[in-house]
Amino acid sequence: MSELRDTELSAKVKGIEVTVTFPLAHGKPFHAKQAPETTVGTVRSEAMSQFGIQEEANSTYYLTHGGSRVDDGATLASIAGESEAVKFTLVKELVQG
Amino acid sequence: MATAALDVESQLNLRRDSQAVVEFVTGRDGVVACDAVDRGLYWLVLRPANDVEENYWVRVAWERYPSAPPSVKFADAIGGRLDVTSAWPIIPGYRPGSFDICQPFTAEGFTIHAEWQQGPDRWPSTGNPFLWVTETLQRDLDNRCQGRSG
Repeated sequence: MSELRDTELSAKVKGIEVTVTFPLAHGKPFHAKQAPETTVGTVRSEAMSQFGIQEEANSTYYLTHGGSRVDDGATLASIAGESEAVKFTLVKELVQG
Repeated sequence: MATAALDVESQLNLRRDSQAVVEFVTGRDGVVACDAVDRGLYWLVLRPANDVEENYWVRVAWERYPSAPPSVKFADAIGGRLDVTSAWPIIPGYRPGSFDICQPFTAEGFTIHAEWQQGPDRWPSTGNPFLWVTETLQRDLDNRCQGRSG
């Protein structure tokens, strides 16, 4: 019985569908299924890698969710809540003035 | 003040990418208008998130798309004057006295800093640069604007 419960529980927490879009992306959005405890920083890093982007001295990159900036240290679970999917936008912000 | 005639490929690219710009801007109660004659000329009405009563009119003029950055100017109305200091927000890198934006997303910025064409500041011609320029303008108005220039 407990095995069955464990199976059900693991099915519920098996992962969160993550999508990251980037206005300057050459190809398709980044898609992945990530563990709920995965940090936003990890998602950002993987998405940037797919988009072929490297950190640059005069720009900062971060993810936004619902139009608001999300801290790299936040977990997917804290953002997704009960949802099984979460969408981010990768932002390239110029830092020179 | 018309821009140079826009080639057909640029027109098609702009038509495709402007749809996302319209979604972004209208989602923030702004406005996007394309000039009826000059197909490379767009007018944006943008509002800072913390002062939605304030309207900024922005002229975005493309001569090639997406391969070259646009001229970006603030105006006193859609189709209005481009030489009005009070039309400009006070934002680092935005120069109301010179009527230009000295940042690596405008034609004016790349004219002043030719070195930006090389290295990390080079113009990004992939994806949807029109959306990126628009988001950059909106983000600056939301987060870095210190009010309207006098």
